[in-house]
Amino acid sequence: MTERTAPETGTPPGAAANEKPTPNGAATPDPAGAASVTPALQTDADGTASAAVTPEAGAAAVDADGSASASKVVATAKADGTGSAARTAETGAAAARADGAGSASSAGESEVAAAKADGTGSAARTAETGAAAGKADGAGSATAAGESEVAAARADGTAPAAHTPETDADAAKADGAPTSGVAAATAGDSDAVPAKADGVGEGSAARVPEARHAAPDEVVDAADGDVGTDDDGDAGAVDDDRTAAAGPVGPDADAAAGDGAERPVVLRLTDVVKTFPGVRALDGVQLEVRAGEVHCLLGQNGAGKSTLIKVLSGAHQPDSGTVEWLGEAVRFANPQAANKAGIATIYQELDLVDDLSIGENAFLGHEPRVAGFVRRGTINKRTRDILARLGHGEIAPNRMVRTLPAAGKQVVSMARALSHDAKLIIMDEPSAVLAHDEVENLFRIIRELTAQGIAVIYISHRLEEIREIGDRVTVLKDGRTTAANLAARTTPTRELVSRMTGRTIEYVFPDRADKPPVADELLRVEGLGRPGEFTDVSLTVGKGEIVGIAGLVGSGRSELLETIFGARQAQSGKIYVNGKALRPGAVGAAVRAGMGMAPEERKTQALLLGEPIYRNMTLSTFSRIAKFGFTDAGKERVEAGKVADRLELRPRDVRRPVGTLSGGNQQKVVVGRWLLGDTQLLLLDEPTRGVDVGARAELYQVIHALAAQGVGVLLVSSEVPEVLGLSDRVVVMREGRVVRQARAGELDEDTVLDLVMAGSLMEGAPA
Amino acid sequence: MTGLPAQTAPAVKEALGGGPEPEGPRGNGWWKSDAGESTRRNLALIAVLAGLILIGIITKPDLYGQEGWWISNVWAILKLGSTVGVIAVGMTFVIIGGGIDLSVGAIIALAGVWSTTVATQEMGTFFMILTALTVGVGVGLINGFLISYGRLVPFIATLAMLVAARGLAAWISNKQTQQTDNRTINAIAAESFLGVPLLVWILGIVVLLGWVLLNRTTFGRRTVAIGGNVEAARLAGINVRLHTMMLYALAGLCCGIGAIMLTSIGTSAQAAMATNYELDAIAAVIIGGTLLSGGRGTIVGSLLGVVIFSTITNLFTLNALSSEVQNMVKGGIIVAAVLIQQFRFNSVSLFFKRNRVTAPS
Amino acid sequence: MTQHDPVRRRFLLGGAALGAGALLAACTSNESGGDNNNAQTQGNNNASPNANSAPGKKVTIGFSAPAADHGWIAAITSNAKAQAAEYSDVTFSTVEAGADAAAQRSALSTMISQKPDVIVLLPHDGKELNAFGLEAMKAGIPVVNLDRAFPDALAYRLQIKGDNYGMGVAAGNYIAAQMKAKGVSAPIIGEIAGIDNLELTQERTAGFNAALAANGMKVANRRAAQFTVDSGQAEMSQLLQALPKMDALWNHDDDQGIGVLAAANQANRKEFLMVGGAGSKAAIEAIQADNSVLKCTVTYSPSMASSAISLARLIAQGKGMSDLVELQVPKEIILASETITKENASTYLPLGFS
Repeated sequence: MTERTAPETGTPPGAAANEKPTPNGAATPDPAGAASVTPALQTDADGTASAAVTPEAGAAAVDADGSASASKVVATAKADGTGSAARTAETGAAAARADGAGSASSAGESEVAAAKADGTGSAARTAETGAAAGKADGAGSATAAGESEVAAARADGTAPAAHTPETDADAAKADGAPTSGVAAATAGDSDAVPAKADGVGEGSAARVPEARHAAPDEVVDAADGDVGTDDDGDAGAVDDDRTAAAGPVGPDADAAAGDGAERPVVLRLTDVVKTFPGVRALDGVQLEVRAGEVHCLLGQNGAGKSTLIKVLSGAHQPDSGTVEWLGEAVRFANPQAANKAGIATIYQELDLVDDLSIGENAFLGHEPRVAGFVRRGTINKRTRDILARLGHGEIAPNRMVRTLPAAGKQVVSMARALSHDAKLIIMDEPSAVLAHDEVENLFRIIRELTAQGIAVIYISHRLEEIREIGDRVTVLKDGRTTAANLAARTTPTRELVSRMTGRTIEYVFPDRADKPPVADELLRVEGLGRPGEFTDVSLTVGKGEIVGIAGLVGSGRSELLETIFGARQAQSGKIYVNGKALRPGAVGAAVRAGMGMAPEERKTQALLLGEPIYRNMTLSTFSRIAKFGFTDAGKERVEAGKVADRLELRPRDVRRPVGTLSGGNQQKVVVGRWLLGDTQLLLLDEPTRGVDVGARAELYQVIHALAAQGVGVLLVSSEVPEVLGLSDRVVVMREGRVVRQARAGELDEDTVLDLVMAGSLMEGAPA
Repeated sequence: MTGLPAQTAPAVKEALGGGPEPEGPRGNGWWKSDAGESTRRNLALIAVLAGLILIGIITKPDLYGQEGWWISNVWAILKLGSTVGVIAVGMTFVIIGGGIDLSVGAIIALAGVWSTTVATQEMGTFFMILTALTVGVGVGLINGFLISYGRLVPFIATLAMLVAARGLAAWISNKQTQQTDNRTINAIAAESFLGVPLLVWILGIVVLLGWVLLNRTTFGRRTVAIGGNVEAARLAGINVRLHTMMLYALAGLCCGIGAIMLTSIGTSAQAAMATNYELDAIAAVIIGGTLLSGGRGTIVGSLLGVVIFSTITNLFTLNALSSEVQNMVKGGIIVAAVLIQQFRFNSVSLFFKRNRVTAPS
Repeated sequence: MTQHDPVRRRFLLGGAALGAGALLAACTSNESGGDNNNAQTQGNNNASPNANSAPGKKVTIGFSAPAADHGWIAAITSNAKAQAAEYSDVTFSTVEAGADAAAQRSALSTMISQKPDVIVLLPHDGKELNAFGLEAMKAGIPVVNLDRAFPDALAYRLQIKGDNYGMGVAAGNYIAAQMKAKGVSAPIIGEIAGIDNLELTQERTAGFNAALAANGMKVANRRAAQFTVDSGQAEMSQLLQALPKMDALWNHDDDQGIGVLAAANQANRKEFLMVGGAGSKAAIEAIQADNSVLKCTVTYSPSMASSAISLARLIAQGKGMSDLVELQVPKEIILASETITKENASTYLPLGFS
């Protein structure tokens, strides 16, 4: 669900902290007789005010004496006779006008952060259309067109702070009340000096698109003393966040920060779908990227980020949905077309040619030519200019790429992007190959680029980077956009994580009978370590016990599981099964000792997609079923059929190729494999990833039933509720270490999230 | 089997509501499913073969009219392809298992030469056969060891062996042609049993054993698993390295058998024998439907591939056509076979639907 | 599987490996009672001593021929070596000719730097090494060009080769005569040639066709083998299918002829008359024994290498051939292709190569 349509129930996603949910309302009576359509969110009528959600039709503004407004969603309408706050739709609805009170304004996607009308001020976030500035008599008004964001509107009669977009919005003018200080906010590319409202001057402080990072102080100033912390913490809280969370000051002192909302949209994806045989990689992606912003893309492995990148870069074409680039619907037939259009991609595995020079790499495929001859001098010169733009004028363009470190190679990739005159650069996990100080340099370059109006799509797992460099965040999950255009610095971590991994419906966990706390020890791991992956891990799993490992990607969980299973060789530590030491690094030994593992990527690590279900199920046991080396396919089918029944496999025919199954059923096949043998200990790595709800619940049942029979289960999952709901005991890992072990009942989701994420949050940011 | 609840709890079931049947392969029935694909392909090959024979009948009715000629031609075709057929069986296993073996021709030469040296010939028939087989298996094991445990890429390892084995064969034989006077050996290529030439018997037995091994034994199952998804096989507990080595040893064994056959055919062995047999074997295996990437293939298909190529040679000779054109035709067939492999029946209809070929990333 | 199995398995494998290794090592020996290598040298078969063979000035002969993958080529090299050994005043040095003409070129340039007195060269390909011949001659080193001819007369001091065309003619004439003698009016004639890419094969076929045409006959079906036994057998087996009844067959090369004969035996076909080529010992013996379809062979003898060495020595020593009036060795010698049949087989037997 995107932000555009606010749900009728529940909190609109991504909205700032404290929206008050409003009930379904009935159509508002029109006090003034004008039509107001749609459900009112909150009617607080003391005769006048109405809040109304209007459809996208250009409903006329309701002119109500003393109130009114047509608009989409009233976040909080509080009419004490006068003011109203309104979120208006994309149509150019006229600004609501309220006499005698402030009004919220108009068109487009305006969001009222916190509208507080105490008769005067209003804050409004107005949309892209050139809505007329709302005018309020007697009070400051929020202004105008385009993507304005009101940082913190605090009307106590005077100054509003407003973000104005690139459009030529008239500066907000307030009669009778001075608006903030010095420079009028006007057309986009101005650097507004922080506006100070001291009740006198005109103009407003505007945050202007080009500059990226606000000095936090400036932000505060813009709202200044007049705009302090709101009592009920609405806008003010937001403001504080920004103060707190603002990153390093941009090099340009004049630059005022923007959270990326006022600039024009350069890229918009609508309901993009991309399927490959057997898998729906993108299942309705919405994405909106504005010029000069750093738009972060969050999502787990398998969420569809790589496919999305490939679609954007022209390597794949979407099956349905629209891609709009610079306002026009486009369809890139190949990467060259995308490059020509101004979209450049920097892949994680840098696609550079080591044996060519920097300049040659930068212009690879589109070298400037004369009659077929490459103009090397031109290449070198242009490369030098580009490198200077990136702040690396000291690098010689004829140097061999082979001689560069990873950070240098990344700069070359960016140079290549710029050589295409890119207006959008997509970076796939760029910090993965960099050291800490190199990351700083990378960010500096990114800021330079965005200052020049280039948009950046930045993909990373690391929340701290997203906080530092990002403007807005879009979260992908299972090929869908679960959240779009969240504020990068202020959206709570918990929300981001839950959007990445969480469920939209409740988990269905079977009841877990109380288990005695002490069970016979089945698996004991002591001091297991693999350099670079995990260190000094010790844990135990008892018979019939379910132990869950919580942690984020990169915390070493999967590697731990594979090492226990023998797929990787441990550098230190020991593994004991039933008290006996296990030969490390040998899968065969682990299997013989009674272990089974369902790997993280079932398609590439566990299944033979072209083979029938029963053969996949018997992959570990066909030798045992066979007689004198001759396979007994009939018996295999019978045994597989039994497991398929128990697991409620759909379709039931075990002769079908396993590649035709849904994800959930495929996972059942993998788990079922170990049910055929004498498995005593089951290692499950993300067992329900990519699995539909129904199959999930069935898998939980299976796991519980196994435990009830005495099988020990060690499972890894990124979904904290799942870990907590299934396990008897929980092991929390972070960055390769065990940070906490406890019984599941002693922990709750927040605690675990904190443990899993701590250290990657900025101080003071909301948890 | 590890225990499970007899039924999923009713509450859960209710919550699930049962899911829809996921899409199966296009159409229903075994015929059109993936399992039937290899049968479809083999039938297509048989059709091609029938077509070639038909061309022969049309172009040379006088020959086909002669009494007894037709059956002698069949034996001639099968005998022509018998040696390549035997090594194609071994090659099928190697390729299904995800590898390749470029050294098979060289192994035949080495085994042949080694088994026909003066010393070996003096030891008698049994030792000649034993030497050929041992050399074949031994060299195969070296290949397998280098690939499995030395982690060499199969292409490189077997390419090196190709050169080295021929060199060793030339050294042992002193670059001379070593004739055998051993009557038993020479009889293999000359005699028949129940009307069927012995060479064809050997081919038939090797093909049958190969089929059983691939389709009915755990060895074959492991081969398919490793070729289909080596990681999945490893994580399921299969000893991938050992098994891969065994595959190359098997190919080497087939080469040993082929060496005996070829020695008998030529009543001699020389370092230059079986030149380019590796390419013929690989080509036959590929047009027979085995995926070069591994995980899928049939013995019958490889046999059909060999017979098709032999029939083409026969056809050209019957019509006194030059060999250059013959080679071009062979090349064309290989290309066509690989292209067909990439367009499976599902994809073809998708192709017409979407007007382009999609490939998963 | 029990714990013991891995250990036991390894032990068994190790023992088997050792046993196999020992067995195999024993089998590589190729020494036999008689002398394998029946070199054809002048000393061997020429009873009368030659004035020219008396020792004279010491000379170095540089020799290069393609690597032997084939009996005839192997015989060239061994004949040259043996002939050189007969002379006490000759130092014989060889360079590996490599796999192709380019490799031979670079090998030969090292030879030039060693400044031999005379070079005897059988090139991979006459045209490709012509330039080398010119270079050596210019450098003052006389070149004896063996078998595969340099097109340029300035590139060699002496060109000694067999008569490929004449081979074909001899074979054709023999077959024609035999067919006429048997009263076959329109004989069905087959031909199994060698590597078609070589010019000499083309020349042989040309001579064969010419001789047959002169007698009103022609080749019914021609296949090209690779001078190897198994290729000869394969081509012959198919040819026999194409010609259910054949009157005569010419096989260009006796080495591949082993395979050709084997195919004929395996197919139980005896109704035709076969002529061989090159004159190997085995072929001559078979002709003598008259127990197969092989009735005749036309020589293309590797003894030319021995002659080349002898003449090279003479050139280096500045002498001429004793039977000639002229004082210098001739410019070109084309050895006649002799027809060997049962009647004269015994005379030629010592000349047969293995």
